[in-house]
Amino acid sequence: MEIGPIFRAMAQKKIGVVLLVAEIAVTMAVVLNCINLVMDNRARLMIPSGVDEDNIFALSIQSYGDDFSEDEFVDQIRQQDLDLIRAQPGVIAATPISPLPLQGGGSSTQRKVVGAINDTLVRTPIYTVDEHFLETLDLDLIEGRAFTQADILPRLADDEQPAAPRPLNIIITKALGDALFPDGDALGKVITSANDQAANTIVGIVDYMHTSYDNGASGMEYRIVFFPGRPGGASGMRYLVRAEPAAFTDLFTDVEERLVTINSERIVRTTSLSEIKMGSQFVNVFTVRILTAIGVLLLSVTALGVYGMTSFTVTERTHQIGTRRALGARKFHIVRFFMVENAIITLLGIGIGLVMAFGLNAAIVSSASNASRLPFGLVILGVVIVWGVGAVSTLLPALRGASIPPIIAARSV
Amino acid sequence: MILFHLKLALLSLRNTPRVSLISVLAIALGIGVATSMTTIHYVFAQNPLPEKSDVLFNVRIDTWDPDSEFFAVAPGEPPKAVTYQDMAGMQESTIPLHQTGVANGQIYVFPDDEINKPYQTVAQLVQADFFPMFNVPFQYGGGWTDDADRTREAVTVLSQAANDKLFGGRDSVGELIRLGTREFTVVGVLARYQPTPKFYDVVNSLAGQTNEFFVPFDLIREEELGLSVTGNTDGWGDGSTFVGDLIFTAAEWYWIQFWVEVEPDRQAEYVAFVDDYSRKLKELGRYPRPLNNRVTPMMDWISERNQAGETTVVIMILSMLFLAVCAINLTGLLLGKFLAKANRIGIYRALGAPRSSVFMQHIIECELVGLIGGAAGILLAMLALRLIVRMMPDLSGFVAKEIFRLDGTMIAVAIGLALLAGLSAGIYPAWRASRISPAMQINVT
Repeated sequence: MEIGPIFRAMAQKKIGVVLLVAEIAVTMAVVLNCINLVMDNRARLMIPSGVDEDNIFALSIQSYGDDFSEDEFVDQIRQQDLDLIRAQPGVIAATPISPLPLQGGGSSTQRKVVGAINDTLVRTPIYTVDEHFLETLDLDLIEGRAFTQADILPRLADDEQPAAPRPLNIIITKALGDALFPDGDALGKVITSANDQAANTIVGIVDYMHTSYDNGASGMEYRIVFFPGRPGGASGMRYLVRAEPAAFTDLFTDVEERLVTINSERIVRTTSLSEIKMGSQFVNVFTVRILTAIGVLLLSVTALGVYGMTSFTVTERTHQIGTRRALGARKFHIVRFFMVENAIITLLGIGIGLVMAFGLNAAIVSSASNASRLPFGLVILGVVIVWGVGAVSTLLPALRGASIPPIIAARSV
Repeated sequence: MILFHLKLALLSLRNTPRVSLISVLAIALGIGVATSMTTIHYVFAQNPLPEKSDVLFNVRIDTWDPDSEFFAVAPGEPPKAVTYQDMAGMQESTIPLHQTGVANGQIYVFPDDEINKPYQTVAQLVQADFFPMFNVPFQYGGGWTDDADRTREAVTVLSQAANDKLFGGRDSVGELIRLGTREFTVVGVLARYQPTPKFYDVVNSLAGQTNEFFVPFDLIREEELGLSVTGNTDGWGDGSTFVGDLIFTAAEWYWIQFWVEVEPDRQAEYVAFVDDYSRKLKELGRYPRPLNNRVTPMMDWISERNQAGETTVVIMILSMLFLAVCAINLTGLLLGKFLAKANRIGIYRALGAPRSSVFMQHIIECELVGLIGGAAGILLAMLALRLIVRMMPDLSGFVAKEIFRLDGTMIAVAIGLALLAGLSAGIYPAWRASRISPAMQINVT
């Protein structure tokens, strides 16, 4: 191979080499970090919720009638609403709920084993639901039992509020159970709050659920508590409805109006659970789309740049190529010359680019708390991509160079 | 002379239309990407009230549960809001020029017309000082008095959008609107007001739309009104304090953004006051934690609470590197182009053009490419922002879509970046062009 002449040719156009190396290096650094951030964000988007989100919609109700200031009236309307919803053909199950799951954030508390010190408190999102929530969310109960109506305590007047909350039966996710009881014997145990006043008996454990809360910082998103109760009031009520896939669209549009027939002094809004989830994940979705776009654009620009600069070199060397061809070099040799030259430049660029990529990654990790380090496998992928783009964009001008006829050499400039 | 250079530069661009087009496109693409991503970062990081940001402070004191750490803040930080009792306690100080609590109350609006049905809204609970303290612009009328705060008067200030919707945009000062169970008198209508970020309540609404109604803060304590606290709240402690009016006077319930305006020469004094105040609470036994108070300057508070900022700054940096690659390509293109016309440059030189003039000529050509590319890039950035807004879900309470647009500052940034890219891409090719010797060129031809 003509390594010597290649280096001498590169020495002839130092600045061109420097430009290409710089371009490939920066491209390498940016593309690697784009892919890494896209993978981080995609990983978050891919976490299953454990909920039958595609077949669930939420009804959000704002009731402005004066009657709604009475709790008994609210309870009565809630019951009528749910009876009506559950009677619709195609409805699998429905539950009142507060707050909405998968919306990003919500309501949370801390729990620990009775008698334990507060260092062992585990933070957990809380949802207040009725006895139909397991079927509505499509969660798998792996131990214990579902809620019954008896688990929902009667209402107390303001002046009867106890200083300590009343004992309650709760259902938790297995992740919360394991966090509190590493031996896996959470069922039937009582857990309490930081001030030791709460007394919650675990009567059921569900296999899995994930709700977005703190962007994955603490693990609390898997550790969930369900309280039995009567969620919602005048300022807002929410129901989740799970429908047969075939009936989803009709129910999604119809139920809203039917609820207004029960009591017209309210505004009902229907939102699909997948849309609610999308709202909470928008920063991740945005990051994935934008960085994918930037990465693809960058590779295209670099491909065009390499193509342009190699084309320029080929044109510059028309005469020399003709001479080599006249002296017996085959087309293959000409192509090989440019490909090897490009490979050397790309290698140099990739080397410098890798150093830059890790520097950039370190800067990103230190400024963005949820960014991860560049994994080794990704580095290999990045090398392959950048090398491939460089090689393809060199091949075209190199082939053109190879087609320069030997007769060129015979012509004077 | 500049005009002459410009004319020559234009001529040169026209002589090589293909190379010129590619050069302009390279810069346009780079500017389009870099500007749109910078805009997205900037809307959350900009100073919404530059004339007062150095005298406005968010105040917090740490009366959180001694047995557990507050979450959703950096480790060691106090809760991200204050309790009602502490807001009231700290408002005894006469050091601040102005001070106000800011919170959110859900209430029903009963419009007195055929078109608008009753609806629920989130009213901004503020005190009289809110309006002068934040330089809030009025279209009609004005804010309310301290007296109205004290007597919990049913008065309201409307946003421009609410006045357009409910009163057809007319001067509605003095008219009535029913909120909850009471008729409220309109005392003022805001002019266009959309501070971004919405600094006074970044916890609940980083850059959301301005609330339709501003009402005196203490109306939240009128139980029969139908106004209830909404937004981010955190609490701990004795459950029996979480009912009725006790929730304001006794509960450890954090839901208020507390703001003070303090002149520079009294800021140290105010910090000392806050510490004194919490020390007194400690003596009363309410406050078992070590002193952990914050009097945070407005801009620091915004950046502390902007969690998306970490992501947007990274995307911005990556987009700048994208622009750099575009500029490197431009260098290659210009170098090729300038050296290809070495003959002509040699003739200029032989005819007496000094090196400096040749250099100048080519730099101007590069900057021309930068400017044309920059202009096209601004259009691209507008297009990109529009596409991004279109794919956004409706988050109007937290982030209003209108904020993602190029303002004067961002257009200036785009032009600056374009000139910088043109200059840095062109400086070497222009220098090479200026080194072309006259004699050699004449010899060859």
